[in-house]
Amino acid sequence: MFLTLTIILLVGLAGYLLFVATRQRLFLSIALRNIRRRKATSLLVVLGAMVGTAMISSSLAVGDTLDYSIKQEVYKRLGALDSFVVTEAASENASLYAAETLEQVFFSAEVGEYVREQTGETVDGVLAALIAYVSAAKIEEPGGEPVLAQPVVTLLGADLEAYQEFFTTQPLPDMTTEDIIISEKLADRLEAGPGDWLRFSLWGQTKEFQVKMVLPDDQVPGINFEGYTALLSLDSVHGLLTLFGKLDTLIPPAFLATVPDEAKEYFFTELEKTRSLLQQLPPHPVNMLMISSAGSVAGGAETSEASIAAVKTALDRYNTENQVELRFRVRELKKDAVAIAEQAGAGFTALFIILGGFTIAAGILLIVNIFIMLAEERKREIGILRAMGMKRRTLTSLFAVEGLLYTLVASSLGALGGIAATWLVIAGVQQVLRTFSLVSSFEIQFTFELTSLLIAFGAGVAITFAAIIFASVKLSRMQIVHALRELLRSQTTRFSPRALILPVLGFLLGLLLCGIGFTRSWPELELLGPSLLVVCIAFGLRHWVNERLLFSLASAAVLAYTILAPVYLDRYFQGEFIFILTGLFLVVATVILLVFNEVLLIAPLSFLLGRIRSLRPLVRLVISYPLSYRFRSAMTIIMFAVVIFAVTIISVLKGVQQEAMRTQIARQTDGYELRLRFSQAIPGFDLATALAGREDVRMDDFDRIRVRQQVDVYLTEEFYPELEPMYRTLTIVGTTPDFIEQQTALALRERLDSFATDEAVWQALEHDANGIILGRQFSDEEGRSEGYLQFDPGEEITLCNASDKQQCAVYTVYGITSGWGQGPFVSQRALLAGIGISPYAYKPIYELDIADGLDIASVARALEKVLINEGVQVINTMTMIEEGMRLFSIFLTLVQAYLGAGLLVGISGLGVIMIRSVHERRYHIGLLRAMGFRQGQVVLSVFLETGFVALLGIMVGVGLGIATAYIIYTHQFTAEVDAAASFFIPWVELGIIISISLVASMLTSIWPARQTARIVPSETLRRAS
Amino acid sequence: MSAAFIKAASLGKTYTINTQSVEAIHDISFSVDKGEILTIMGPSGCGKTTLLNCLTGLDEPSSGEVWIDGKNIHTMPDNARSDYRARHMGFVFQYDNLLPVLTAEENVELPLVLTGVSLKDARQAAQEILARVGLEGRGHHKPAELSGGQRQRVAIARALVNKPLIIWADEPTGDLDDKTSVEIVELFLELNRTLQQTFIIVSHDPDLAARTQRIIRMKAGTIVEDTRNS
Repeated sequence: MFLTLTIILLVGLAGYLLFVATRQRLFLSIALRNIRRRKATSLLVVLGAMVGTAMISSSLAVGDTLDYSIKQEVYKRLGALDSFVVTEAASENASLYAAETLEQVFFSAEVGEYVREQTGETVDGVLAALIAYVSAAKIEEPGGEPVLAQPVVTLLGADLEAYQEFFTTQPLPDMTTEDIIISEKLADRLEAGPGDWLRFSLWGQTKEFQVKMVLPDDQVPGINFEGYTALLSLDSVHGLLTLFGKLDTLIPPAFLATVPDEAKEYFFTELEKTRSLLQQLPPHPVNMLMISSAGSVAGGAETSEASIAAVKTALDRYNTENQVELRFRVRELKKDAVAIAEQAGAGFTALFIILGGFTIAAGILLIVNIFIMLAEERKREIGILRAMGMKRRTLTSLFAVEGLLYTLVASSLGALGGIAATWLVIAGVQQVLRTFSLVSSFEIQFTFELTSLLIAFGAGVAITFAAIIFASVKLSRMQIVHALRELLRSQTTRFSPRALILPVLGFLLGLLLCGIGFTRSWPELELLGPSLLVVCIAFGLRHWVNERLLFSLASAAVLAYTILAPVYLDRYFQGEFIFILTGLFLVVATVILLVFNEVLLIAPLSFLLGRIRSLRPLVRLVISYPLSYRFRSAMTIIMFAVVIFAVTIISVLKGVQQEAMRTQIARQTDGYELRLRFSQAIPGFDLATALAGREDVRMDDFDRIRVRQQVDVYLTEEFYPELEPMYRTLTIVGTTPDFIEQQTALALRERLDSFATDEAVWQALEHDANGIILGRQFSDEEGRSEGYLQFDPGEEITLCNASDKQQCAVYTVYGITSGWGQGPFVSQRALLAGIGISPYAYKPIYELDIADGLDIASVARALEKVLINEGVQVINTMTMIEEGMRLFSIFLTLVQAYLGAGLLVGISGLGVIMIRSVHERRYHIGLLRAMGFRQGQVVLSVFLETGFVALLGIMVGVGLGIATAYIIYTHQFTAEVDAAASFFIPWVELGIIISISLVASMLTSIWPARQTARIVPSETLRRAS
Repeated sequence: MSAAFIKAASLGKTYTINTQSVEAIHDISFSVDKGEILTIMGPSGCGKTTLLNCLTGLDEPSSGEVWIDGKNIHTMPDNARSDYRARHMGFVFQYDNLLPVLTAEENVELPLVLTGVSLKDARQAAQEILARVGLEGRGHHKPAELSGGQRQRVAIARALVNKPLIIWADEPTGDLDDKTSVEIVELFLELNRTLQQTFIIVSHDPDLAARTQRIIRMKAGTIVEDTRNS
């Protein structure tokens, strides 16, 4: 749509240019001569106009870059894999290998061959694969100690010939049962290459392989996005299956010896069940069909719809022909991932355009200001032209032609400049991201679409030209005599009914916007409509009512409505552009209120500066000039204030968000730096036993240890028929008295009325047989996580045993936690009594508080090596959190830097305006010098005036920014993270921003000040006369 | 050096325009007594304003010296010269005498504030002098809201408010109608009589010149006649 609009606009402009070149050649000639005559000024206009376009093109380029980079990452991770087929049971269960569903998870590899034959040209390849998750370690030699470990590796067993057919371009070597091919990412992680030995472990059983080959990541399809993949022949994985027993629940005899006697009954039951199920498996079992749709790696996403339909038909036919009822589920992979990439790209474009909106607004104000100043300088010329009989419309055209020339040059350079700036920023971001382990492998590749460049150019032309037309119309309305006599501003004019046309039309538009906005809950219009009504009433009445009173009341009304409305209407924060609209309305209303009530400014400033005797004569000049040129000053202050407003909000919210994250993290981690996550249930696992006799990591290394026991339960169709399959499996934290005792930091946002405190709820959970505490994702509130069931305290939830879905029990919701993703919590006693979950079915999560002075990363590495056979993943919570916070902080700093570009516009714009101002008032400066003002005093007045305007902009921006941030905080942060985020103002950061802005503004007045210093009074006085 | 209040000695000013030298005034010498009111007359381009600018220290002469009340103003540092102008000189120009962004009262206050008078005292003095020039109650108006004559009266009030020793007026009636011109001249004469201030007026207006004590006529950058009215 944008491209079409751009093309229409450009065609229109080309037509207009053609018209000007043929029918208004004189205008073109005057415009070109004016540009040549005022080269420096023309350059400034172009620079000012460039910024808006640059902001748009850079936002689009950011979107293009992210879209492209994420897609490339998708292609690299998935290779030729476009979709996959698993059984319905596998798809619905979090635990893929739950004993009960074993025979439903595996199916014969011949299904793959059948599908391949049946799908024809829509599918390039079908690979029947056996996927398992194991832990891997590099060992120096067979039987040696682990050197480096990776707790979770995807083991991909497949027919290697079929694999070669469509997943890799490289010839695969002949493989023995001891050979393995690994992905580049796994090779990097384990520092392993061809010839090195790896040990795979699952539940205490191990098998060693020699690396035969390392395949590039884009030729190893990653089912999960980790990308640590090892490729083996299907036979090798079958062998492993036998070795490992049944992956998840089959207990090897050696391990069984370590299981406590009282637990054996449970395990024998599971063991027998599993053995019997294993016997029922089809020959050559596989658990996945990997589908490559017709077309290239990138093109596969586009053809996957047809290929999925063909695969589904083939699977149905297989069931019919073989008289079986295998229930399969076909899952899109690449198309979904590509859609996510496009969504992310579009999201970032929107975000940066919204943020850049303030800078674009500042750029527009700068253009209007410069253009009006330029024309004010040419007042006499305008007066002469009008006196000669030139119509207002013709005068507007004359300016428009000149403006169009500026617009075309500025928009072209701006569009290219924005792209160049994005390239620089992306290069910087890439460097920074490499230092983060969380995202180090994600490569951001700079790119941009030509259509983006064209759209940015078109948008730049539209915005700049509209601003110039506005300025031109304003100038053409100047009265002839006033123009000729170069009077400061127009005198009171006679009332003409025509003057009411625009206010009345605006009022009607306002009514329409109100109607649409309030009936359809469209927040932007709810803000715009009433504000437009107020402004139009003010403009309509200005011939009869004192302007100052009228506009003061109007701006106060808009200010009050804008700042108060979000307090009452929560949906204000649902609009995309409400942020920028609110900012602009607040700033514009405040500045108008101030410039019409200068006494509010004069009194405090006179009080402050008047105390310094040498500054006293300057005070009035410093204030009077900006306030006498109300329109120009208001535009300048607004230009400055909108950007400061946005920077302030980001600074405050950055601080609050970081504080909130810190508090939340402190509550959730409670000082535990490392987390050990087991990929399988390890009954009777004891960390002290596992570490006994170790030198590299000992129990003394931990100040505190907390264990969280987790188990999967099931929400059956019988009780929850509407629930999506993926939400049926619930991972529950089984609480114990010890756990409850340690569980002091988890606050509840809701609890049953019968409990006086949060602690009482936790205690009751332990003592009662049917209590449950849910995570916030289950709360019945707006904006909750999609798909989850909703509960209020007091309601009931029916949980079933995941292994035996007939065992179900009802639990009452006692409370809901403040944080997302926590719990649910049920006591282990209640789970055993209610649905028969054995205490030995839990997978533990150990949380470790590392002793002071120890290097957390070193302890983590040592633990990973020691516990590699148990498949333990050691998560360095603190490092992840710190990296996450650093990443978040860097992102916000980038956003601030992006807004900083706007500040640059404001600062340089102020400089430009001061240069023009000094030029305009050369005569008056001469007059002041004649009266006895020293050269230094006049120069100082220029500095002070710049500082005054900048300070006003800063004060308005900072004040409103803090107020708006507070409103956002009260509506978003308190609701999101409850009391975790306390509101505070980062004065130091704001102080730095304010100081830099103020000093930079003052520095920009060096040039005009030097101009002032060079003024020879006698010359300026003579020239004037 | 001399008993004369203002003394110009061999004043000359040469401008260079596009590598060509133009001698605006040359070898001008004359003196003015304290409390005197004189008019410098001459055709356009004869150097009247250049002479006035050199005499006031607004411009540097290419040669010669200017002594005012025993001080050579061109040897003074720029700041000292500015201070001297602020304390001892008042200026009235042909038009745009006033700062458009200030009210009449604020324009008049400015020289006083410049010399360190408190805002309160400056406001009172400004109101008094505005009343004296016939603008009582008009102090809150900005220049754009006043007539040409009223604006010129404000300029005169401003030139007089700090009780300067000398008032310099460059074509003070050039932009005014006859009636207002007469009023302005009467005001000058009255102030000269009552306050004994020295007035040096540059003008084309023979009627104005005829009412002052002395007329210096210039032609092509030199003084061609220096006469005293009876």
